[in-house]
Amino acid sequence: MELDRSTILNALAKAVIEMDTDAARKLAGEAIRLGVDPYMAIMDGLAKGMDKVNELYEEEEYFVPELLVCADAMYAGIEVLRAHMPKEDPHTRKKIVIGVMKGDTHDIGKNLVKIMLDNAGFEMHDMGRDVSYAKFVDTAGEIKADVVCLSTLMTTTMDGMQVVIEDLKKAGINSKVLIGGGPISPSFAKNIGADGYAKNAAEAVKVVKGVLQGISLNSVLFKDKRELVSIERNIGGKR
Amino acid sequence: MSLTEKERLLKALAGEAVDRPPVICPGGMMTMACREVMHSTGCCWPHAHRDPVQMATLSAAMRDEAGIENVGIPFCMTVEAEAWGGEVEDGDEFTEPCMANYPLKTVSDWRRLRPLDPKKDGRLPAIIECTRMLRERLPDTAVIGNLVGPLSLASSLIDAMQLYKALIKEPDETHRFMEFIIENSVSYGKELVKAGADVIVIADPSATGEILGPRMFGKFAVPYLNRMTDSIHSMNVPVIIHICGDANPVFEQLKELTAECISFDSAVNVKKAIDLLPGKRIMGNVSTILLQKGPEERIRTVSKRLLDAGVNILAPACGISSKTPVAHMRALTETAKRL
Repeated sequence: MELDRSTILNALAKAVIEMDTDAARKLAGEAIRLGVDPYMAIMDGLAKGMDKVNELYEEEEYFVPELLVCADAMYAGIEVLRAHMPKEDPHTRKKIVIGVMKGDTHDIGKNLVKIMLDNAGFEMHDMGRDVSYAKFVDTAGEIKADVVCLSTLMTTTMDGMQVVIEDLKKAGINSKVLIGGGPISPSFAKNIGADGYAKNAAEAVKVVKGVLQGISLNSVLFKDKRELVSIERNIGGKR
Repeated sequence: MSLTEKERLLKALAGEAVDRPPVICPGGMMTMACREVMHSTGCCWPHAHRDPVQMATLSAAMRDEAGIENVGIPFCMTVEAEAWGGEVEDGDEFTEPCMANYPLKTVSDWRRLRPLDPKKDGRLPAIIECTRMLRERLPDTAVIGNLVGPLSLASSLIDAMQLYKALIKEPDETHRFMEFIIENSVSYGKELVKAGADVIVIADPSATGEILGPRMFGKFAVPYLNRMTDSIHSMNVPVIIHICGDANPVFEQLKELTAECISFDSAVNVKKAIDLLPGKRIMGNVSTILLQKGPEERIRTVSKRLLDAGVNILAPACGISSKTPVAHMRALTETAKRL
C-alpha cells in the first residue's frame, strides 16, 4: 500500500511534467481508489509536478506553451480529486482581485499569475483584461479584497496603475497592491506606491504571501535570489 | 554623399555604405504618433485610425515635427484581425485600438474564415489608400507598410492562451491555421507595396523568445516569418522584423530569418546582437519609457551609445506612448542627424 501510494504520487507528478492530461485524470481516479488522501495527491503529486515544471521554466527548458499545457494536466487531476475533498471554509481564504489594465488586452501573464495564486489556495476574482480603474476599486471595496493584482504588458497603460493605487486610498480601501508585467520594474512599483512587484507567476505567489505577512516592502520588492529563498522559507511551513 | 531619407534607409537596409544611420519609427505595432502632434494637426486618435486623410496627415506631421525619417501607418495592430471580423475597441488619445473579442474559439475554427479581400474588408482599403497618399505627398521619404506577424495575428483572432496550448496539443492544425494566415497577410502586404510602401515591417509581439522558447519559435515563428519575407522580397521590397521582449533565448533561430534587418526591444543588447547576427542589419532600441519620461540629455546619451555600438538603424525599442513629448523624439532624431 505504501509503495503504491508513493508510486502513484510520482506518477501524478510525472503526468503533469509530461503534459499528459489524460494520464493525470486517470491517475487521480486511481489515487482515490487506493485510498490516497486527495489533498496529499494534489500537494505531493500534481503540485509537486508543477513545482518541477516551474523549475524547468526558470531553467529555460520549458516556456509558456509548455507551462500552460502542464497546468492543464494539473487542473484535470485536481478536478477529479476535488470532488472527494471536504469543502474549504470560504471565510478563511484570502481574497485577491486580479486584472489587466484599461487599454491592454494582453492577459497571458495575468492568467498565469491567477493559476498560480488559485493553486496556492487564494480566492481569485478575475476581472479579465482592459479593466477600468473604477472596476478595480469598486470590486476591491465590495469583496473586501486582501490583495489587488494589476498587470500590463504595455508602456502606454502602466501609468494607470498609479491611478488605481491612489483611487483605492481615496476610497479608504486598504487592499495591498501587487503589480507586474513586461514594462514594470521594481523601481517603478516603488515610485507609484505599490506594495509589491513580481517578475513572473511563480514569484507572484511568494510576493503575495510575503506582502500579506507584512514582510517589509524592501525585502519583497528588491530581493535577489537569496532573499527570495529566505522569504520562501518563512512561508514554507504555512502552506 | 547627399542622400534623401528614402535612399539612406533603403541603402542601409541593403547593407550599402551610407553617410550615417537613418533614424525611423515604423508605425504599426511600433506606433509613431504623439498627442502633441495630434493636437497641432487636428488629426486625433481615435478618429485618425479610420480616416486615411487624417492618418496620412498625422504620420507626415510626425516626420516634420519630430524629425523622424519615414512615415509609417497604421497606429495599431488590429487592422488585419478586424478585417476578419474581430471586434475592435478604438481607444482614445492615449490608448491605441485593441481587440475587444476574438472571432475564433479553437484553432480549427480558422476554417470558417473567408480569405481577406484587401479591396473590401475592414480598414484594409483605408490603409492602402493612406499608403498611396503618403507615397504621392512625400516622394523622398520612405513609406513603411506594417504587417502583423503570423503568431500575433493568430493571437488577435483567438485567445493567446488557447493558441499557445494548441502549439503543443494540435500542432498540425495550428500549422494549417498559420498557412492560412500568412497567405492572406501576404496578399494584403502586396497591395501595400503596389500602393507605394518602400519597406515592410513585420512585428510579432506574441512570438517573443521568452514566451515561446527556441523550439516553438523555430517551429511556429521562423518558417512563417520567412515565407512572408520571401513573398515581399519577390517584389523587391526589403523587410524588417521586430522581435518583442527578451530575444536572448532565440538568437540561434534568428540567424535563420531571411529578412535583412531585425529590430529589437530594449531588453536586447545591440552590441551582442550585432556580434551574434553577422550579415543582418540591426535596428533599435531606445527605451520607449525613456523617450516618454526623458530627460532629453539621457535620450541623447543612449542614442549616441547605440550609434557608437554600430546600430544600422536608430529607432525606438517598441511603439512610443502618445504622451511622449515631441522634444524628446527630436532628441532621438537629432542625435542620428548630427553624426
